[in-house]
Amino acid sequence: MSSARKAEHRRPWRSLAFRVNAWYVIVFIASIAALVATAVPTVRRALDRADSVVVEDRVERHVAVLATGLPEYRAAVAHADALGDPEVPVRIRDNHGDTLYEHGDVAAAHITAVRSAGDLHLEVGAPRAPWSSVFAELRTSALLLALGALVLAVCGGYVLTRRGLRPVRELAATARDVIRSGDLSRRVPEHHSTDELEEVSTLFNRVLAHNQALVAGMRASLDNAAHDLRTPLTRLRGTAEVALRSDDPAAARDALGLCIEQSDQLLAMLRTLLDIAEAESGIMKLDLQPVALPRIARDVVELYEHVADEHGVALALTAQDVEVRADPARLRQALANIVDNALKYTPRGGTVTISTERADEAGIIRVRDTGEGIPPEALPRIWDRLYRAEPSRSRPGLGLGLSLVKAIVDAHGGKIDVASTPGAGATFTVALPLA
Amino acid sequence: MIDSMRLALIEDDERIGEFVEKGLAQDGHVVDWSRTGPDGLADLTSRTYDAAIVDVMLPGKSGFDVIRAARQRHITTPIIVLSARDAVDDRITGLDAGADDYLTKPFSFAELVARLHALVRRATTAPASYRLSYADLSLDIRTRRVERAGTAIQLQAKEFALLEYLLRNPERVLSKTMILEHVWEYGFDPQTNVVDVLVSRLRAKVDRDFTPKLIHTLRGAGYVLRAEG
Repeated sequence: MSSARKAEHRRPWRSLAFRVNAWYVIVFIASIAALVATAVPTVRRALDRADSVVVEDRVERHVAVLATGLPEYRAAVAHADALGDPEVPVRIRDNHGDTLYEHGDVAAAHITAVRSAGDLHLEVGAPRAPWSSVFAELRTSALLLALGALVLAVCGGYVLTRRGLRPVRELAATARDVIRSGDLSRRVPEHHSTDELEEVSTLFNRVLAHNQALVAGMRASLDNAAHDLRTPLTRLRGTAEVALRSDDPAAARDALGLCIEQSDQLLAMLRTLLDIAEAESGIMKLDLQPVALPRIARDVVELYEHVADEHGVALALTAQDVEVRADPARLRQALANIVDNALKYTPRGGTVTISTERADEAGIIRVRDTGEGIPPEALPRIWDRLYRAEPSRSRPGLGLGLSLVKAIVDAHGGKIDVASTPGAGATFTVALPLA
Repeated sequence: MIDSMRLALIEDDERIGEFVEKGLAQDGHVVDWSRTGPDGLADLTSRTYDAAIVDVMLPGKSGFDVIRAARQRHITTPIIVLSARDAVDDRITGLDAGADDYLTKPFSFAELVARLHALVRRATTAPASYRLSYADLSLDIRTRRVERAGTAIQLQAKEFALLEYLLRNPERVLSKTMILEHVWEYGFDPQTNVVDVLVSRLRAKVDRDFTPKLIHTLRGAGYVLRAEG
């Protein structure tokens, strides 16, 4: 409960969506900054190198013109033609550092070449203006671009992770609902996409459905057990109480005997309920080994031949050799219960036939009777605990037999089916994995 | 056959201990009852018993430990274990520890007595006899011939097995569970009482046309082969 509470009141910045986003935004900003930090100086250096080549080239031409005399040089610079480059700032100083001539602003140039010609010192600068403005422009647009990308990344990332994590949020919400309300029928909405989280939702729903079925089964069996234990307990108590009030020793002895019989019945029922529970929950210890089905069928025929005879029912066996992987004792118990049931529902003069055969992937045991059959509406319920189709209410038996059969067959990884035409008998078919 | 046995009972539950002691005393046996594992082990090692009945859940020392300790001291007394658990593992643990038989609670008193007799008989290894008889009823295992008062009786295989079992245990109550295990080697409760059916068929052949009746039903306990009452 407390962890569910915590999840409900989780602060937004603790959410996975936020943290993933924040991480990517930080990485994004850091890499842009790193890119700019390394690219700009490199580009600058490259450009400076290109500029200095140009300046060196110019300075040679300027020195050549200057060699013809300062006035000629001045004229050449003023006309620009002779040097072909009016934009170049130049300055000429004498040995004392006094400026004799200046054209343009040499101090502002980022690269300056200096040459001496006699007493004159010539300084030629590279024009800076074009590169600087390009860099300034580049910086602005890069900043704008980065800002745009950042906004896109944050919004897009947030939306994407939120959408992507929706199944997780829904799963958490459903789990909270189930815990809070105890209602096992809640399900996580499924969106029929194929991503991994969707699969988690589907699996979670399957677990919920399984739990719901188990709990429902447990509740039903507990109700049924309580109900069916009540009846023999009432008989037991009543028998003892009435016997206590009587003075007849013979009647008291009889009553004591009855009490023992009834407690034996209770015990048998308890054992069967435990067997079913064990088989269904998968904790039944099965001593699996290759088992010849005809052998099991013959054992069961031996067990019931006299009972069938008393009922006036023929018990027939058609055996085809086949070995399955099973626990012989449990398999015998399951088949005995099916045959017991078939004998109970077959009237005098009828036949119960046990047959074994080999199918493609399984060993088959079939029990066919010529009894009254099972009404279609009862067919799906015959495996339910303590269920008895109405006409048989008066017959003896615990109503647990077929549930136990199904539980045992299921525990073996086998399958059991029943087919019936009312009035023309029923056929139970058990398929078990081959040895 | 031993009429009076000297038995060790190790059981901490007063009610269960009381009815086992009382029941066995009624049958003429002498019972030494101890309530803890160490006391029971002391009993077992200090004197000779025909058989011992040992509960699993005991204060001080578990029933299995008592049996193991006794076997280590070369005590060969036949031992039957009583347990509230029906688990196969428990049964195997018990037999591995050195027990000779295993009985699950709740158990039928008649069954306990019958199993004790079987253990003691096994221990004393009575010579096997091919011909079994009681009153005017006889059965030959080799020829499979059954006679009562000189009249031959035809029995089916399971009827024969049941009668042989009754004749080997005359005047002793045999429970339905014991008959199921012995005649069919079947360890579960069938829904329909197959034992009742077999007994009534055997009775029809062995008892119906003769007096006195030999096979009797003891309500809630089982069946007994007895010449009177």
